[in-house]
Amino acid sequence: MTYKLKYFNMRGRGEDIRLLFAAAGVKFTDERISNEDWPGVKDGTPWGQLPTLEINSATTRQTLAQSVAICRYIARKFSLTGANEWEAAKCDEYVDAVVDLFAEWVKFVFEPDADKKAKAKEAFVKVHMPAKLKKLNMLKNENGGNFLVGKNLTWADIFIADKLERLETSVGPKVLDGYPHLRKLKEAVFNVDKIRAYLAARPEAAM
Amino acid sequence: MSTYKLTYFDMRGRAECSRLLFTYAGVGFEDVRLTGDQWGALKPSTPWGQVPILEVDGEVLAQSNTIARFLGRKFQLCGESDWEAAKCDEYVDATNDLFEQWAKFVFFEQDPVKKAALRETFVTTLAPKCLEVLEAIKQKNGGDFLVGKVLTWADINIADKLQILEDTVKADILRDYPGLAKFKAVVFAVPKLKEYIEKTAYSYKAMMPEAERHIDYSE
Repeated sequence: MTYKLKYFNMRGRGEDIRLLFAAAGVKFTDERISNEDWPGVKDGTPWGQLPTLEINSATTRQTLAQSVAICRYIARKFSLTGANEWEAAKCDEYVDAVVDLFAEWVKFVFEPDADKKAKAKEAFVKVHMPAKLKKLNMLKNENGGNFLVGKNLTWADIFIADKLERLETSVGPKVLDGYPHLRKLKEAVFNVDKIRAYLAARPEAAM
Repeated sequence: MSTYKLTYFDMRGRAECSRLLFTYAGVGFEDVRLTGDQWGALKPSTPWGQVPILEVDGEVLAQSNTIARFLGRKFQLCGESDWEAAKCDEYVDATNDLFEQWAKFVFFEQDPVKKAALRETFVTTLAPKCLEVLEAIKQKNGGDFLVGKVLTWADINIADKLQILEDTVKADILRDYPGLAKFKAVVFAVPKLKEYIEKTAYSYKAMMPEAERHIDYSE
């Protein structure tokens, strides 16, 4: 089996997939599509969006789309979904909650109108973000140990650590100050050997 | 045997897929439907300030697609391989994206002029973009379903969503998508689902009982 990730040259909705491959120790082709090339690529994608994951065997080529579906597929294949189906469901739940948060994040980050952007950022920083982070911080603390679900690293930890970093770079470096257990989670994930090696080598990117 | 309690509003919305999954699997569950007042009281104790939630032997699971997928796994409705399970996820996620747009004009936009404009964009652009892809997927897969050879939770999820589009947006919204119209009919003709649909208030055209339209559905 060979794997080819197609995404833009940014972190966005592709970085968690890259981190998962890294954590699993699985090689993949990290194809980064430039903005100029995107129009030519778009119609060939299932939903007109990236990322997509191409999985090739000797006889087949299959394409999977939708970033979270891709994450979950890799996670399941490489045993990063917890110890049982309940833990797998908890991974799904926490990821879904953070996906909801990032639907709000997108509203302020990509808002072109300066006034609307400022208002959206305020709502994000004062309402949406604290509600979610407070809950996640509590869940991490309650779980005990280094991770969010069960005893071992799961894709939920990796997905969420990636998004916590995104908050630090887009909202401010002190954003995790009130959420020590989430800071520890991010540190624990980024300290996993294979992930640390990946982070040391990856390109700089704002987002 | 686990005990199941599903809690949501008295509407189809984000819980109907799970209700249909229980029904298809022939597994009993407590189907709690909250009034506005009950929701106000319960909200602070829910994991994310939202419903649906599913209690399994007293343990709480949240997030509607997580719940549906969990039941899909339990009831062997995730296809016949990890690949098919991933395809279920992909198609549900893509359809979910469309429903985020649907919610904007059906629920969140109160101004009638803006609401009508959003609906217009939905009907002329956003829905066809998604439905075209789903139609092609259905045709390419062959057979009755969207993924592989057997019914999956994705089929039930998406058939329900297609019905919601017909009931709340445009009755003939599937006119240009005969594969999807047939797909929906086949899913709802499955005996246990057919019986449920005939017996319950599923067939009511409105999303929710008139009395409950004042509920604050926001987070």
